[in-house]
Amino acid sequence: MKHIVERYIYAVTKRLPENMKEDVKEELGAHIADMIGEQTDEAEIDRILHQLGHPRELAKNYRGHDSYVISPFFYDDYIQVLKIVGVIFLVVALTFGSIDAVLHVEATSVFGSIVEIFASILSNAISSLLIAFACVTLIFWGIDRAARDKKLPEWKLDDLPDLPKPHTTKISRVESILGLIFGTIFSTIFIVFMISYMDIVGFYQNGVMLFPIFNQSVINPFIPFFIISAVFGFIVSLLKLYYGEWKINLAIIYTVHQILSTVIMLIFVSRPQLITQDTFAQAASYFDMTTETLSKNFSQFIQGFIVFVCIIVGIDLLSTWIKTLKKKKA
Amino acid sequence: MDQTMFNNMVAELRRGTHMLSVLSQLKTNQYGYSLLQALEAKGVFIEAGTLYPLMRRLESQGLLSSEWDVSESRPRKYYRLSEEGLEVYQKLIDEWQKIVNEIKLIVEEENK
Repeated sequence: MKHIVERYIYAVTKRLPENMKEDVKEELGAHIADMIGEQTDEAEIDRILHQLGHPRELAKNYRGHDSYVISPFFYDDYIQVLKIVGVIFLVVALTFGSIDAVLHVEATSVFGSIVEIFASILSNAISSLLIAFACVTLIFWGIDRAARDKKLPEWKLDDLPDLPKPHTTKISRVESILGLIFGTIFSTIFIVFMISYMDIVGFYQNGVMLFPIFNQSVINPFIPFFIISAVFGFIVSLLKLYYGEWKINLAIIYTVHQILSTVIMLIFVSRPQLITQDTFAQAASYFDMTTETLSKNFSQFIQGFIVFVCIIVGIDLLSTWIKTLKKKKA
Repeated sequence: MDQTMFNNMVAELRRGTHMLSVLSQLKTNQYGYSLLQALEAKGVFIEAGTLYPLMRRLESQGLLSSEWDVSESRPRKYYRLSEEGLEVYQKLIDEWQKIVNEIKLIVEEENK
């Protein structure tokens, strides 16, 4: 029986700072003893303890103030900064993660490569989000601690923020329709060309093809992915037209499509056998260098291209997300 | 009317008066439970979980003094007003009167 009371007191005091514990324990013990008096009925003790309230609540009352990691005073600023830093970290991580992933892909099948790259991008994104969260929280925790119980410094009228320029998150209709038309035409031509005409692109001499420039056997496994990406892109364009402005769900779908199509494209161009050996030999003799040097230069060029594309896509996604999130604040 | 919201507003209004009630009853020695009962006898209901911490806080602010009485079977911590506490209490009563008059004026104007 006594145990219940002691456990209740312990549940309160364990939540208190060290220098209060002993004191509160004794005092609360005396209060409860007075309230219980000579009673031994467990139900009655239960009722009395419930009168005192939840141990957490009582501990809060004894502490005399609420404890926070980030106090309500800074909370709104904290959330805003967290969003912005989160987006920036995420996009930077996605950009450099994709570069790294595309350059160092180990899987040999197209599907395997895509899965591998996505897994690596995803883990990059999650860990960078965690870092962003931890950094922002720690910094704000520090600021909050330092500012706690201090009076706010004097503020001047000049310190007030400028009114935000009215900015639009509208996606222009013309842009969407043009994107839809050209996107569809381009993807269709690209895919038809990849399926049917790649084997006639080659070196010709007197109307007879000596060898093809591209390796059809490398291209073929990509075709289903090109089609998926094109259909996905078509749907995204339709959604842009339908919504007419950037919304969170649209931005998510857009981001997934941008990353997917970029990754597919980059895996495609970085396949070593994409261009036939004969083409390299022919081009090398034309540029007057060895085949080896040429293909080395070429793969360096491709690597540069991958970095370039990832950064461009990163900037595009960053601006898309800034547009999307700004709108919510307004 | 949202009953929870209303109850919260009433609790908010009453919260500030708690310390006044507590200080008023401590011209003589009281321990926690006896104070609770003394207040209840006057129709003032403060939850035990609020009252006990409040007594401690007023003590740490120097308005109450306390001592343990271990002569009886159960040790008890007795509180009473300190000199400063008495002074503060009287000033608070003046402030309270002002508040009552101000609100009275506003409410009466409303009823005219």
